[in-house]
Amino acid sequence: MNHPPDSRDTADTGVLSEHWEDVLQAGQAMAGEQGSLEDEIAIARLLRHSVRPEALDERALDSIWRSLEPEMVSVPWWRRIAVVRWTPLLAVAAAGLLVVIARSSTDGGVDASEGIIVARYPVGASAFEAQFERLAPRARERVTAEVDVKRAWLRAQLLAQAGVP
Amino acid sequence: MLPDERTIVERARAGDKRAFERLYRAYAPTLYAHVLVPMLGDRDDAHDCLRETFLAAHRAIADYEWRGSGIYPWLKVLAKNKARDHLRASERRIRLRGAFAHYLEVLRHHGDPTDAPEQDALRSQIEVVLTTLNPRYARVLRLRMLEDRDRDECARLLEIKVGTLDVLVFRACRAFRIACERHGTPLREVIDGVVP
Repeated sequence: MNHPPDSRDTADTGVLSEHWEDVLQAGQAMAGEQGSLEDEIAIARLLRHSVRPEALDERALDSIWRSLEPEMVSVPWWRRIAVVRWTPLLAVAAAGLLVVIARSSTDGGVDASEGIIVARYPVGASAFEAQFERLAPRARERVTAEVDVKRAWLRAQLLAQAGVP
Repeated sequence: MLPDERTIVERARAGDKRAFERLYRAYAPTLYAHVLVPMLGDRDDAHDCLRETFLAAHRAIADYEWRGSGIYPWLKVLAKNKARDHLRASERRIRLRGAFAHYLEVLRHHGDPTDAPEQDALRSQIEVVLTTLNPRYARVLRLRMLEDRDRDECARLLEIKVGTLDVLVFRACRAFRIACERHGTPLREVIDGVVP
């Protein structure tokens, strides 16, 4: 029977150290038992966690930050002043205004600009979408992310109220 | 909470990347140690979820509304949700690979984990469970897991062979798990102050 190597080194006896799995497997084999050790490993980790929680080393901390940086695009000024909260409303209002302008320009026989041509057609979802994208580029992505986070927050609150761990 | 956290958060909300990095460096280690590792039980998964958590935080921080308790609770919710999504996506059970968040919940280890008394409270609850075990099991867990004593010393103090120590540790961990689950409800009541 090979016994797991022993060490007082933190890295070898930390929360996620494979040492504890080796110890428990050896103990289980010597006891003549078999089966999953998941729960016993969880207990060993819980006990170690109570003494010294698993540390995120500096190298990993830096590495994760470096991988984050390229995806953290700078926030444009119009988002910094929280215009984004009003973007959908403004987009709808602007689209409505273009419809009015389009109608009046058609009545007057004036040549229409590209934006007005779009608004001449029946204003369906796709027309609004096109106007929205032109007036507030990437706003849709922003709104989606916001909904995602708020839904996650609400779900956590409901789970907490329901007493689900 | 950081001394000037509200100012840092406001700067991060305004798009200051250095301010956001300060929040990351302040809270990433805590989220990793106290939320993601217990929930996932795996170093690489915890790293991935930590990254996803801060990416989501960066996208959403402009809409974050300051609360007196600081930004940590908000980050913690994001981290928990990322970990749940990760487990769901990989179709794994929450306890798989030695995740121990379930037992932390049983012991009602809530609150800000950076707060030392909370860690002390966890140790106290572990002691409560240990007192319900066979004294030999309790002793081996204390010596080996909680006091960091090496195998030879543990075997000598317990007056057993080194080889027998692993069997004792295995049985003690199992006994602790059963006791922990059996005493989950009373422990909760003790902590909630229902029982003095």
